[in-house]
Amino acid sequence: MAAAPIKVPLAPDISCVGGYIVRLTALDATTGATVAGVVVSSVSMQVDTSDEPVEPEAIDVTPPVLLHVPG
Amino acid sequence: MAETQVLGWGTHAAPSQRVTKDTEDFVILAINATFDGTAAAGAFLPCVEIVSDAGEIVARCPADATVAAGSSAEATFAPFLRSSSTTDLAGFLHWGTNTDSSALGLTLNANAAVSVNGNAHAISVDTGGAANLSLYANIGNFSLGNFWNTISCNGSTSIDVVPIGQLNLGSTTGATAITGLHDSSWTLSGAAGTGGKLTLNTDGGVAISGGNTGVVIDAASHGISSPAADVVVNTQNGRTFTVNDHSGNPILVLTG
Repeated sequence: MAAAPIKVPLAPDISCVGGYIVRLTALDATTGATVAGVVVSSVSMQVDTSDEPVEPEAIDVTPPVLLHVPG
Repeated sequence: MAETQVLGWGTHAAPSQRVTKDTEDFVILAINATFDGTAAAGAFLPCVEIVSDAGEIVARCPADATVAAGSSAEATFAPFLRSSSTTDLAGFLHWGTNTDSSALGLTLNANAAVSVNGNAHAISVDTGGAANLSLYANIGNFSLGNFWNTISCNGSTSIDVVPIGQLNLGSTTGATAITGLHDSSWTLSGAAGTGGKLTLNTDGGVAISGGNTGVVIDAASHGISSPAADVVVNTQNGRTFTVNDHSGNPILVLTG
């Protein structure tokens, strides 16, 4: 039987760094436990890898210009 | 934005998971996967979980409609998707005719009243076969009501009405009739050995008509008796009380 297509909202903007796990599972609607016998295949994940740390703004360390006022 | 597609998860029994490499840092844009429930132990919700490197669940995103055991689903997880489906899918109900071709059941569980209103259209519940149909009110009353028309109950074999308490048959304006059809008879009896008694009592009198057979009173041990008081037969307006022999000849005539 063909797999019925369904759409599921996903939490946005979660940054997955090293050690984070992305898990596809099948849950019992009542208990939340994993339902045995479900096979997951054809997984394709599209990710945005531009989530680089934001560099702090540069601090202006230019020494002040001392004006010499002739006396 | 720099996008990359991550493949190569393979085929695994749920849960199927991927550990983010130390060199990776990404935000998930979408995940698509097939959940094959052919051998599922029960109905299930396709779900994506994101677990932190400390082992804490950061997000759990299940579908809001179950996939029945034996059915499969191709699920797309992405931010801001609507979860509802408008197509004719096995395992989903939608407005219109729902055709179940995969032996799916339907379970409705509610924490409040469930109301079905046909709005002047017929409502039919038919098991369509040898399966039983049960309507059960656990503690509350069970009512069948019809203001303007007949309530019919036809059983091919029998209809049993056996309450623990009293059985009441009553009609507000019409007569209460019990009729045996097709040469069948009907019997009113009290349970044997429990002192059950048959009482007929109406304001309009009690009429017993025996048809072609007559009225036969067969009391095993006492005949017609009144052990605690005299037997009294009242005749009115000069009517007589007659006892005939087996040939119909009067053997006792009393005139009031």
